Amino acid sequence: MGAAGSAGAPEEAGAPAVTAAYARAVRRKGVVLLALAAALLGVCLAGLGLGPLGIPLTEVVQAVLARPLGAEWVSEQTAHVVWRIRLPRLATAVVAGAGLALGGVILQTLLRNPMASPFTLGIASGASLGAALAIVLGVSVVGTYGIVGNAFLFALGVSLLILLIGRVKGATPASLILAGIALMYFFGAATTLLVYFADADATREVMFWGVGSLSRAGWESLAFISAALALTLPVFALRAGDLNRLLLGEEAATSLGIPVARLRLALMFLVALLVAVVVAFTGGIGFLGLVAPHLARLLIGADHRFLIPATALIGGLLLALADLVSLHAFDAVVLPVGVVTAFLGSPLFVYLILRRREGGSGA
Amino acid sequence: MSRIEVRGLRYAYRGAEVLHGVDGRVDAGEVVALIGPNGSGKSTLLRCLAGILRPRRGEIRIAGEPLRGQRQARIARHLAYVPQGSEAAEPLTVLESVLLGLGRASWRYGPADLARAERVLARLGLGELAQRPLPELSGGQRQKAALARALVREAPFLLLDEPTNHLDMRHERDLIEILTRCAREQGQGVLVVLHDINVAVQLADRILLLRDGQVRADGPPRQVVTATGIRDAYGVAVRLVERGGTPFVAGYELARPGG
Repeated sequence: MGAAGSAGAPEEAGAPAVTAAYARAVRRKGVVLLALAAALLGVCLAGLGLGPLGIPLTEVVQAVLARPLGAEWVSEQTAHVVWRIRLPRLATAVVAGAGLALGGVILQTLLRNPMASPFTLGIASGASLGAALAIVLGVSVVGTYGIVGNAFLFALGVSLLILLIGRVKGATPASLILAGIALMYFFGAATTLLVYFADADATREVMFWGVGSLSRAGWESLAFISAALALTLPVFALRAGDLNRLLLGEEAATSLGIPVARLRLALMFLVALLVAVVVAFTGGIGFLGLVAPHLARLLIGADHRFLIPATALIGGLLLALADLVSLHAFDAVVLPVGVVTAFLGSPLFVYLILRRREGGSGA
Repeated sequence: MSRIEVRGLRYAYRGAEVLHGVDGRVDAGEVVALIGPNGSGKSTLLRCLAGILRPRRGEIRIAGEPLRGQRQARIARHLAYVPQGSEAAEPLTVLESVLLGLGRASWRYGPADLARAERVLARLGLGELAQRPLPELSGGQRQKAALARALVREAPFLLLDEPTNHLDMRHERDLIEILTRCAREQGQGVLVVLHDINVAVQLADRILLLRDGQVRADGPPRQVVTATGIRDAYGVAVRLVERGGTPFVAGYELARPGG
């Protein structure tokens, strides 16, 4: 700046340092991503080994590799436990965690609100109500697919409603969240009402959607959630630059050429799809979508080119860990994983909120 | 010649019309200050020009192309816009935020992009702060980071909404120098909303005085900033002094209680 020659000169001289520092920062973020991937792999290997039948690490690796290679390196029993019981559940935990966390980070940026998540906006509870309706009233005609379809329709409906509320009333991001919380309570009450009139079997079933559990995770849930991720994650990643510009504020983003309303609508649609598929198979696993993005930002910053993969990895890692806790914390009892994520997630979230305050960056 | 032209522009927020037929222009290579009392429609006009608000009546042309019906990305190519107040909800670093000012498709930044961002940061004295998260900066520093994001675009036109907010006197003077250079050396057309009439007088080649959504005066500072003109627009009696042919507001009359 032409302010003072004396102040201007060193700045000019020091300028190339900026490029070097940027390259260092990018490398550091790459290392963080690799470390997260390694941690996820470690947790998965541990998870496959733990259980009533303890399997040593080498055998876990052999069991995983043997099947696709057509080899018989481990006993039939070990192969059965790994491939039939533990792997589908663990893999479902990873993709479901990644999906919920991604939904959270995209919503937080789209609505410019750190409190946004599939749960605080009522999208997950909408999906739960959709699933409950299918179960209790037998609205679904095609079994699981009907439950998934219903969950998606309700999740999509809630997302559109939130966008509509924002549009019609010219609402601020804060009022969108308040509307979301109202919706969450409404859907919660509607689900409770359904349970009240339902028979015992259906009640148990609906309870499952409310708390969130991986007890029915299997190859089918893995396939569905993976497909939803494969459909949505590349779009989120391609839009990373647009999402970054949205962080600068809606006006600034618009002036940089982003069609904000269209971007919001398209990405909300994809988030609704992703969240609905996850919720249809696992129920309402709370706090992941809220906490994982914040943890990811602490580790890697707000740049979505890195934040999106980091959030997905952390989401997968957290849910895999929570699942291990739910399976092995008590000998005879398997806790619903939603209970574990809530117990781990709520204090973590309070900590994150307090930290943001201190940093002076509360939104 | 490249210019922004506005003819008969009207804009209403939910039925309440804020701009009642505005005419004006900004040429390449000139600095135009937009002044006027609160609520006169200055920011609304700027938002219309930036394509953020889409007015139904009147016409805006940028470099001959009508703005109406154009895609946001196409409008953005002509402009760099700095909104009022600077947001910093999430911890992007200064450099990251400045890089976002570059072309829209940039998913990866090459050495040329980084060098361009570096030059702008150095020019604004922000080099040292490049890796600092925006939320940690002072209001003035954040304002300069927003300016850097606009300058890095090297767009034909710069639109700035009260860029001197949060700036101390030195940084205010620096801003005047930078914007003047943008116009003189790079041939950019600069339209800047200002509250401080004295800053407007020093910076602008031309001043547009807006009141109640209409242009009340449009001309060189000497012609627009007159005691009568200011009193009519702001309802305040000011004392003007003249220095080297340029008017300065030296103070205003206070209605003394009981006097």
